[in-house]
Amino acid sequence: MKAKQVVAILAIVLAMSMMIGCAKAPQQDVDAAKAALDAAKAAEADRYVPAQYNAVKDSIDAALAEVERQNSKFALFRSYGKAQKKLQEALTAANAAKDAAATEKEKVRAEAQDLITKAQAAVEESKKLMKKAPRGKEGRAALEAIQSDLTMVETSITEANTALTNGDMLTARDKAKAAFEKVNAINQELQDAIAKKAGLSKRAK
Amino acid sequence: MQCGTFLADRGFSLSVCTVAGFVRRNQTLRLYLIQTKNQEPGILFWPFNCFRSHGFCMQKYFARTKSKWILVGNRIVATNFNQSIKSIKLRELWTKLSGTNLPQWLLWLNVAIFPMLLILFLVLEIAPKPPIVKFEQALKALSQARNAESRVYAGELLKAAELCWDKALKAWRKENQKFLLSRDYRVAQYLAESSTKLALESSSKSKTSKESSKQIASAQISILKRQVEEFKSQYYHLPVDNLLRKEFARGELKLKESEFAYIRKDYKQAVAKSKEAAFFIEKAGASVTESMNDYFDNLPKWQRWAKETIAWSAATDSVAIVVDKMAHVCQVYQGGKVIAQYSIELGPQWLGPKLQRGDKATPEGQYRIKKKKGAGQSKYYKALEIDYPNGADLAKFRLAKQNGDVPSSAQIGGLIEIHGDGGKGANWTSGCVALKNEEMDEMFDLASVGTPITIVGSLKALSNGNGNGSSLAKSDK
Repeated sequence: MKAKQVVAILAIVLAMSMMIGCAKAPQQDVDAAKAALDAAKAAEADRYVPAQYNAVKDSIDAALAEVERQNSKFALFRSYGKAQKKLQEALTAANAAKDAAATEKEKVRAEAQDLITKAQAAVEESKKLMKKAPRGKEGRAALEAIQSDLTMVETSITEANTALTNGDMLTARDKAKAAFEKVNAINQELQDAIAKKAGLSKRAK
Repeated sequence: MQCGTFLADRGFSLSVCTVAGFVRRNQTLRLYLIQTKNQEPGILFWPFNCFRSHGFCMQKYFARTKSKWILVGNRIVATNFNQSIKSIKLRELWTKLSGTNLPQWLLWLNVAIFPMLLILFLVLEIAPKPPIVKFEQALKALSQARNAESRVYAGELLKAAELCWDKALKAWRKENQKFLLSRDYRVAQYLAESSTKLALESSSKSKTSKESSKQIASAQISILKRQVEEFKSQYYHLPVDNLLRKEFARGELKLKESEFAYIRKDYKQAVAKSKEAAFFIEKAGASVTESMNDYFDNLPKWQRWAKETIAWSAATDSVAIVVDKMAHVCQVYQGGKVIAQYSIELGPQWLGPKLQRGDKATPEGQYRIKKKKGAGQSKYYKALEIDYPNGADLAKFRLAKQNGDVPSSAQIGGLIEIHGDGGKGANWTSGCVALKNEEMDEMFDLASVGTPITIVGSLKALSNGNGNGSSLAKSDK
């Protein structure tokens, strides 16, 4: 009888220890990985480093599926080690994507800023060249058309600046680059005209 | 060794055998010890009579786990069933290992735990299984879709696929929270399958859309570049409306943005920008073309005027002058043949008819030289003043006033000349025709008061190599 009591106690103790020993879902890791993904998205990783961002999304999805796979098992058989590992990897990858996006964005921003500065300088150069460009008795009439182009270039530079302020670096860079190329073409046209005028003056002498 | 891990590692063989066996209260329970390779010894509880009927399962299990030896009942048995049995009694082994007798409570413990395990294994066997394969397929499809840039080219489908995936996970989670036997994964499975389907569709659409966008952008960019070149060569130098020129410049800038987007392989953006560029370029082009076509509706009249002038020159063997504004050329005829040809410069608004004083346009019509102004008599070296406005001009001006094409206070203007001081490389006059001084000398000698001078917009059709007017940096005239 004594032996039976011992056995019963042991069985209860064993059952309790089995219940207590059950693994728990890594909710903190899930939350941390999701927060890191949101942070990467907020840093526009999906736009500036899309491949990295996609990889993070994939790994988080896989980790969440692994968590549920373990949740599907009987409590005693659950093991979240693999899911935890995946979530930690996803967290690291999300943080890396966020940093990479910030770096890439800064690189594009610097390029855009540089192009805007160059384009603005080229516009100033255009204005100076327009003063030297050949003109007849009607003054600026012959240069009005070029002035129209220049106005549009300035509009484009303003748009690039606005895009830059709004954090849309890729658009800012494209607009600044387009403006820079256009204003360079205008300057070339003006320089050709000035050179021709100089040539004519020499011939006249 | 943790209990859960131990059972997970060995659970399958145990459960299969357990389901097949029966436990009777009076049945003798046997203890099996298993020593597996690289593992600690495990303990299996088993009714002896089951072993024979399910020996095959056990044999497979032992073969898989590379067991070294087992204890069957109260005897130790080699795991290789083909080998000869080397056994000792369990009680003897226990005694050998522990130095004590096998306690009775160990067998009673077996009696207490075995029913629990039996129920557990039964439940595990009959409980619904989660659709793991479906979820894995969905994961793979989603990954493919993302890598195929579906976010850019098939955003809606990818969004729907991701939404289905999230819902599938939620449904899976919800079922997991239920008791093992009351779970139903059908909704989760359906959602996972839907996610896979949508992701695959999105992947496929994205590939097609990307390729199509690439081709559209490429084609649109080259068409627009050609249009820009054509516009520049035909109209850029023409005194077209500044507003139109601004629109054209805007289109040109958009085209460049489209090219940059194409270079960085953002084909969707390239298409969008090229559409914007096309809007401005085509609008400017269409507007200029329309006004040029309107202007060139006068071509038959201009050609008739020139023909009459040349015919008069031929008939009278006299000098006559024809000015082609579009070609920026002045031809001198005698006896109906060209005896001299000069490049000319006009007013900045040379394109189109002269409507009123100060519009910097050169009039079109059949005129005669009214007055010759030698050196010192003209502000611009020498000049041949024409009889503008003639009767036709006055009638036209009155009509324009009536129609409101010119303000009621407008005046018709006058003092239109062919004069010197040309060769500036620009259209700079107030509507006169300027020649280089040495050419003006020749012209001055050839022309007399009364010499016919016909000024036309053009002698050639617009598409017939026309449009060679002057630009700021045009080659020497």
